[in-house]
Formats: sequence, structure tokens, C-alpha cells
Amino acid sequence: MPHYLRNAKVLALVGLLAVGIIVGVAHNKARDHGASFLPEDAVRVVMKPFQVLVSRTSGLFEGLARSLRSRSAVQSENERLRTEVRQLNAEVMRLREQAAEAGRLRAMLGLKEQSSEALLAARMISRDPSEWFATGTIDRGRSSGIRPGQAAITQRGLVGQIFEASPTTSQVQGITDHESGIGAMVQRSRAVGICKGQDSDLLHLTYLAKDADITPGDIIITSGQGGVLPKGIPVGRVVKVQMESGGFMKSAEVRPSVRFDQVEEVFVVLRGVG
Amino acid sequence: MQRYLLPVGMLVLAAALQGNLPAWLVLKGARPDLPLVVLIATALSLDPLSGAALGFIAGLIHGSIVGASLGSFIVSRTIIGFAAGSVTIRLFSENPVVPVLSAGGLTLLGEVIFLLANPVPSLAASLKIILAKSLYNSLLTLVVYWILRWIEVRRKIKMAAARL
Repeated sequence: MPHYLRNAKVLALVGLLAVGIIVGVAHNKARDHGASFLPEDAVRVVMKPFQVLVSRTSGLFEGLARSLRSRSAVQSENERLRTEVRQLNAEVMRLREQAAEAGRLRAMLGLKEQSSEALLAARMISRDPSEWFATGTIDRGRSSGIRPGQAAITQRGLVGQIFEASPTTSQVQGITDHESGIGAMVQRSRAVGICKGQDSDLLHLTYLAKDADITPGDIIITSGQGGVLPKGIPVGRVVKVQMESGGFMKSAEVRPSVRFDQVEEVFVVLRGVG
Repeated sequence: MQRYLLPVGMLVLAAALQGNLPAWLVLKGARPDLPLVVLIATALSLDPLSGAALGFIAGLIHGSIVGASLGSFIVSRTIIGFAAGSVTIRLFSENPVVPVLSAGGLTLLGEVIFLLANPVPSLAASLKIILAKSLYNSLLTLVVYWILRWIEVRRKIKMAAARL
């Protein structure tokens, strides 16, 4: 046995790493089968109240930061007016926030009424916890009927797909995530392809036929192929078209309809998948 | 056991904050890794094994809220926790240079281990992000480390006073 392996601390570290690898493999297996993973579910159940609390508090702090920035503009005014302006600013901010939220919810309600699918409203309580993945957490889980594979949308278009669901929360994989790939089509010409995330602000629409009719400005929607995602959800707008190397296929850069980092509420399309 | 309650509580809070970081905290695509900062700052005052155990928990928490690559999070954080605990044995950790350099170096190490297991499309862009993140974490670790030390010293003073 090598000398360093006789060291009890190193042995314990190796043991912990082995457990970590086993946990990782078990997690991947559970994920591949669309099953839940108990340690992860337990952590998420514990984390949810903290995430909800921080999500709500951070909104307040952002409002406060905006208020502090606006204060420099009224420094020349007297103390009474400054106090009044601050109070009014705070009131206006609160009302604006409420109006914006009401607008979003109204638009989403419209979407829900128009949609033939069963939709479940959820709030995004955590977003992009690592720069290597475009993922987020919503405050609804398996107990609300959410299953892996279901689509998360807003009134603007597709946000992403549910890829894990614990009892009270679910993980959404944004369409910009480099592991994301969805069936898509050009709304005008019906040319089909695969829209892949590439960890940037743009999506890569590939596997288009070399004679596909596609031009910048075209709207890309979900193709519905595979039966997982509903057909016709807006994905984004084409900004650039190019021929792939070899000249056998076309591809395009697509700006997503929805910015994942700005999503606050989503609807989950409750289809029987996963 | 009580000794680990504060670090674990801070890890939970840091992970909740990590998912709600304001956009202005993101510099050149890099954002501070708060669970990692708390792990390094805490493990610097622990022994290597406790550091590794805390790293395991940190990886489990962070990996669970990301929802992907759970094993990579656990393995990289366990190694970081062990290494941070070892720094205390070899170096005088009261020196402010120790937490700063440790955080920078350990973030770099952890992210390289993580990316080995999870290759990304653009390595050059990722390296830039990792370097910026290491620098970011270094500065934050200094702050968190001294806050934790202050809490620990106050706790010890209270315990000593209670004994007297």
C-alpha cells in the first residue's frame, strides 16, 4: 500500500470522495429515469423557505438601491422636500412594482385562458445558482402535478423545460443552457430543426435542410415533435443565418423571446410526461 | 456538533442568496460563489477532515439547488474543504494574506476539477470567468473570514466568562 494511503486523514478523504462519486452516479441514474433523488429532495425541502425568503427580500433591497440612486438627483432641495420625495419615490416604486406584476399576471392570465393545455402558475424563487448552467428553481413541485419534461412558458414564449421535480419545488433548465435542445421550426416556412443552448444570449438553430427557407427576422416556434413540448410556443427570432461547414445544412442564431435571467413567474404546461 | 451548526446554517443562507444575486454583482460574466466563500472561510479554521465533511455538505446543497452535476459539486467542494483545513495546519491563518490567497487558489482548483468533469463549449471564455471568480471570491472570503473569527472569539470569551 502506498505510504500516503496509510495516513488516516487521506483515507477518510478518499472515503468521502468515494461516497460523493456514488451519490453523483446515483443522482445521474435517477435523473435519467425521471425519478426523484432522496438526498436532493431533502435538501430542496429544507432550502425552499430560505429561497422564498431571500427571493422576496432581495426584491425589497433592489427597490432600496434604486431609491438610494435617485436620491442624488434631489440633493439640492431642502430637507422637507427630500423626505417627501423619498417617501413618494418609495410609494411610486411599490405601486410600479405592483402594476408591473399585475400587468405580467394579467398577460399570463390571458395566456392561461387562451391555452388549450392545463397550465400551472409558479414563481421563480432561485435563478442561475452556477454560471455553468442556466437553471432555476420554481416554487411548485411533484405535489402540484409537475413532472420532468414539461414546458415552462410565459406569455412571451418558452422559458425552458422541467428537468427535475422534488415534492415542493422543481428545477427548470433554460433554453440557453448548453445541455438544452428542443425541436423547433420556422413559423413562416415550417422548416424544422433543433434549437440548442450555447451558454450565451443566443440559441443555435441547427439541422436545417440546406435549402430551408429562413431569413433574419423569422420567428421560431416549438415544432411539437416528440410530443413532449406543445407545438407553436414562440422560442425566439432569427438574427443570423449561415451555411454549416461542408454545405450540407443550414443553421441560424436565434435571440430567445424570453430572457431567462429576468423571468419571475412561469406557467408549467401540465402534460403527462416523465 | 454545535460548532458545525453556524457553518451549515451559513451555507444554507449562502446557497439561497446565490440563486438571487442581483445583476450588478455579475462582473465580466463572473459572479461570486457565496457557498464556496463560506466553505473556504469556515474550513480555514477547521481541521482537514472537518473541512472535507463541510465541503461534502456544501457540495450537496449547491448541487441540489443547481439540479445538475451533483457528484462534481460534492467532489470538488470536498477537496476544497480538505485543502482549506490543511492550510490552517501549515500556515498562520491570522495573517489576512492566507484567506485571500487560499480563496483564490482553492476557487481556481475547485472550478478546474468541476470543469474536468463537466466540459463546457468555450474553454477560453470559461477560464476568464474562473479567474475573475477566483479574484472575486478572494476578496469576499477575507470579509466573511474575519466576521466568522469575530463571532468565534466572542463565543470563546462568553464561554470563558461563564466558567469564571
